[in-house]
Amino acid sequence: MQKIAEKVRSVLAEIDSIYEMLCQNNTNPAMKAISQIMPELNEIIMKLISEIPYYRQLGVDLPEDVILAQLQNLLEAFEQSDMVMLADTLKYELTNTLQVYDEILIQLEAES
Amino acid sequence: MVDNKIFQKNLQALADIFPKMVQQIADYLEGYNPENGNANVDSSVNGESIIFVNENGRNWYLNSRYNVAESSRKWAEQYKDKNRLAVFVLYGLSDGSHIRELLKNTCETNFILVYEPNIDIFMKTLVNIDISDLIYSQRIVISVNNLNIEAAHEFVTAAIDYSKIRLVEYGSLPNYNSIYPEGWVELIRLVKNAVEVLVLDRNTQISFSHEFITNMLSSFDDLPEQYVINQLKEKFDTCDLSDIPAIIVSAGPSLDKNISELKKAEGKAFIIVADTAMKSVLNAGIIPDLIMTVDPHKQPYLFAHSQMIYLPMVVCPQSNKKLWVLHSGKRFYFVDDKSYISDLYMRYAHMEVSPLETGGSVANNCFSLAQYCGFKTIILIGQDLAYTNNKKHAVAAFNGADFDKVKSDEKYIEVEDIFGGKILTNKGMEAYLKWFEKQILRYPELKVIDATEGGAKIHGSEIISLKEVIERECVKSLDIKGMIESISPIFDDSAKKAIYKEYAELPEALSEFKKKINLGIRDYDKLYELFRKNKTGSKEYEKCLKGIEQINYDVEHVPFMELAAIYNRKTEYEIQGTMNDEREDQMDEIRCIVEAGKKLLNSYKDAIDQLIEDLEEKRRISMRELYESLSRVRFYMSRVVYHYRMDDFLNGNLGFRNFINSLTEVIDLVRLHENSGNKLFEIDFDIFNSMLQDILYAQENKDYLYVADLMEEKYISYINGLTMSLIEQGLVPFEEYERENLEALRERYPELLNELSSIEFIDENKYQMIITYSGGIAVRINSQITYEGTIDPYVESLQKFENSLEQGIQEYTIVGLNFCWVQAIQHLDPEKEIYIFEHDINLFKIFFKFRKLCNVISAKNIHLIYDKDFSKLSGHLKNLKGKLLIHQPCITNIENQDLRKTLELAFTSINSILSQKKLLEKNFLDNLLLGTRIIDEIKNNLRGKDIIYIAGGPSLDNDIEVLQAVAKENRYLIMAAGTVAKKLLKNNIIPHYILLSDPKSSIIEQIRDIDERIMKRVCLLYLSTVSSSVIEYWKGEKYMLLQMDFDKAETYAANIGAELFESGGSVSTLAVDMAIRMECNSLICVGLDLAYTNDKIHASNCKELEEDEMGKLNDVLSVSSVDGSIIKTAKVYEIYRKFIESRIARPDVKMNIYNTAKGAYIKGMKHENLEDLICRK
Repeated sequence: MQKIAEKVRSVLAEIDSIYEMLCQNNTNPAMKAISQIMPELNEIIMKLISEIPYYRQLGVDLPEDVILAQLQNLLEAFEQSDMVMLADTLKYELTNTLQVYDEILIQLEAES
Repeated sequence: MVDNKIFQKNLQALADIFPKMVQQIADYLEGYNPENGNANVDSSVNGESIIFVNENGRNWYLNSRYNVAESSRKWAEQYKDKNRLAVFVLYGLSDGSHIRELLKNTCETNFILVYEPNIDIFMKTLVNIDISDLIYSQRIVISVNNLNIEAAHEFVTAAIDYSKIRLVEYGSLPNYNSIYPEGWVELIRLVKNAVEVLVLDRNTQISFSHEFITNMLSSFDDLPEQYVINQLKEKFDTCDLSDIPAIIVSAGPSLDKNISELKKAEGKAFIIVADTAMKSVLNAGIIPDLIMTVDPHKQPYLFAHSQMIYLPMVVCPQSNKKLWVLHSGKRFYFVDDKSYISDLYMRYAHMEVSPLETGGSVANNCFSLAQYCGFKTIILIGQDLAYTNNKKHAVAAFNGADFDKVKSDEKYIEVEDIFGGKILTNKGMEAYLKWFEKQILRYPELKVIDATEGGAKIHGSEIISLKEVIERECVKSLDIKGMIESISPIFDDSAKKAIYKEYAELPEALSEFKKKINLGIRDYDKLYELFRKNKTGSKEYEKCLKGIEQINYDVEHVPFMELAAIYNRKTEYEIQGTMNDEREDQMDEIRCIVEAGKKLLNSYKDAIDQLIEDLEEKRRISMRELYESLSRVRFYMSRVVYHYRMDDFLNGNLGFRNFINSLTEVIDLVRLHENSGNKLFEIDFDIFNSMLQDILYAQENKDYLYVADLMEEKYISYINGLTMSLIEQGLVPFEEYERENLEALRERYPELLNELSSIEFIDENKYQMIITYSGGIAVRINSQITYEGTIDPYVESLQKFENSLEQGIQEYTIVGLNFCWVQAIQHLDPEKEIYIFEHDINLFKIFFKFRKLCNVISAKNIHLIYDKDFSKLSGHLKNLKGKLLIHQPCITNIENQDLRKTLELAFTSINSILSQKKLLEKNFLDNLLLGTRIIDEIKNNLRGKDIIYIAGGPSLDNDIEVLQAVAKENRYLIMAAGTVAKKLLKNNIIPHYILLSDPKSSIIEQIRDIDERIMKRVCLLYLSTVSSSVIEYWKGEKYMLLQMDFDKAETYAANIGAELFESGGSVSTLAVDMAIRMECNSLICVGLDLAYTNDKIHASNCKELEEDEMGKLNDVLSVSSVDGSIIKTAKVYEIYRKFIESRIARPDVKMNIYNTAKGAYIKGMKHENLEDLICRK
């Protein structure tokens, strides 16, 4: 659990710097940085989605379709090199999801 | 029409700041339907308006859908702390929020170009988002594709100067470069091109600063009498030009194709001709309305046309002043704004004389002139801007000379041609092309038609043939020539007087200004000192600042300082290139500012000094310059005459170019002399004008012989007379030549200089200086020896060496101080090493006193050797390489008789070799022309055969009977030397072959009167250089032998893959080598005595030796004979014998060689009696 929590925090930190690059239209460094966090981000999101039923039992309801749509947006924006959409998806969509996941993980860690 | 408050507000802002844009928007809106666009407005989560665009099947947002302010702020952060003078070139407007943030992050001195590639985005923003604050900021220029792209060009031109080249910041708003990549590339290219123009301009300014200033100072004498382009515009303003096009004629290679069509446009268009195209146009019988020239070093030759003289011309102060010599028509000036000359026009004519925009070529200026005068249709012809058919210009521009072809070492670029393919151009022409394209975008009201019918495509122009365009556009007549003729000079008499007075007082004003500069430099020093002492708040500090500010302002704004600035371009650019660099701290910044400021002011001081010097120089009439120019005119005339008389029109025309260029220099100087108050001698100026007219007229008609006649009969002598009178009147400053020569000697030949210093005076009784017919100085010694010719020794020397300088020879040794020879060889081939030996030191002294020889003295490949007793020459000759030339008067001037005799003999020998060589070359070529078969063809007839070779030595008489017997059999092939042919035939011996090698025509006697039937039975073998009369005479078979050590034969042999033979100097030596190379089985030599057997020279009834050959036999030697006794021989026979011995000793000799003669013993041959030999074999 600790390991995935660390990954979530590290991706969140990366997103901040990627966001700046995207806003500044630094296309190549931004795309390179995104491709580097993509496996971890994918792993985190897949893990989160797989754990949604468990969290639901604990009383936390996470919208699976919204999270999947965010991931889909990221992939589309990445494919199209759409800097604005990438920045929005990372900063204002996936960041929220990851922060919620991080909070759940903190809570679970505290309870265990 | 869109009607909402935001749009109106934005529109008002545009109307206030960019009024032209409002009209453009109005025009655009006429056909505008908001539904048709692909841009739309949305709101962000925060409620901000944002733009998105549908491209490539998806929607692209151009700003964040969540937080516009945040993403815009982040975008602009990257431009924080940029240089305060940075220029921003941004791609995309979007909703304007990024630009707004950028304005916050930059200073008031930063200017921003916003280029929006999609007009629909711009319109949606204008209608829905308030960007009036951006427009009012006055730091932004908005340029929109398909609306006002010219604004981008104007911004780039205005905002980026040389000092800002490194301060350009490029940036694309998010997604713009992904959606519209082509526009992004174009925008960067636009800036890059502008930067290239700046760099090109900088290089031009630096490289040509001397020519600029020389021409500009000369224009002071011209422009008060002349006209300005504003007067042309005033005339055209009174006309309706809607149906009158301007036609700009350039000298591109395609001009030849359609120039004849242009005639139909005369009187129906304003025909402006760029300088280099002038000859083509005039030769086609078309009289243009105007010629334009701007190039400071345009060669006068290009203007040498009798009909050009009265045509109006548009010029600028930098145009080549020498052209005025060839032109008596009206000159319409355009000048740079804010220049000294523009200020003069303002002050004395109350007129702001217009500059003309240019991209660097005169055709660009022509275009600007047409546009300035109000023409709406501009037709370009001859505007290839590329190497059409690998050529640079139309044929007439350079009189058809093929040096105009593209060189393989130039760098080329491929551009699109008018047919959609690719064509080569260079950087310069590409820049001119881009300039045309930029102007077409900037002035959308212009209709630009490219009727070149070839070359590079000028984007934005209509491509159509000249014939069609004339039919379509040239439909109305207008008397433009009459209009121009009616224009009066710009200045009245009082203004002219005032201007001349101001020029006269300019040096004084400049000297005064220099004092102010000194104060400015002092202020800089003081300022830095006070800053270091932290006294920046003191009154003194403030005073220094004001002083510096004032002097810097004055340097830039006092009109005459613009003239001084021309000298200063390099320093100015150096300082500009670094002045905006980032510094470590404030102290460092101040230090750099002070250093740069002082450097600049000091350089202005130097520039002022130079300017004063040049102003004074311009007023001085340089007699030396006149003398040298006259010498050049005479020299080129002599060359033209020589080449035209030889039917060498290419070199004649090249010489003619140089003649015209030199003549314009002379006329310019003579005119200056005539106009000066201090006339030093009388000169008939009209003769020069008639010379020019006569010669040009003949040249235009390609009447080259008449050109030569005119020059030779009339004008060379006139020029010679002038130069002679300059010398006679003591006006040629020979002391300057002497000073310069001695200075050069000090560097290169200090020992020779010492020797010269020891001569106190020249014995004028012995050495008499005489003025040559061509106006030089020659010497006669003891009234007997003329040291060089007294007519035109240099031209004579050039003609002497022109056809005798051998490519393979890299070194020339000249005995005798003939500087004309040296200069002629140097002129013809500057690479050759030349050694000159002279024993008479007085001659060095005299020539260094009266001739301009510093170039000869300094040349590394020329070696001047003072050789009192010719001992140095003797050492040099031991290892002589190359050619020895002896100057006869030097030999005559030797007082030691023995030494003189030795050198005289050498001289005779050299002359003989020289004349022999010419004869050989002539014979060789004649023989080739007679149709040549090579001996290689009959090699099989000779290979493996036994040969009897019969020479004409005294022993032949003993062997005649045996030979008669042998001739009846067919065991041997008999080969006879030409000398014995008739003797053998008389004795009924018919040889199979007769061998000839002598180049002299008298050799024909050896075969003359041989019966034709006999000739047809005998095969003639001849050396390639044998007298052609023999070959022509011979009616039988004949085969040529190509010899070694004769370059023409060697080249020919190499080309056809033929065998080469060693002639060895005689027919017998050749026979031996030939038998070896033809791989004969054996060789029996008969009559090959090579000695005076029985005190006889030759066999009876053989041809008598000629007188010069007898001479060779005078030196009698003693050698061993075949019987072991001592026998007399000649030196020349010894040479042949040694050759044969050496030849037959080589490893390629496989056969037996016999000698039946009773003369000299030949090592390597078997000496036997002929009868014994035949019987034994």
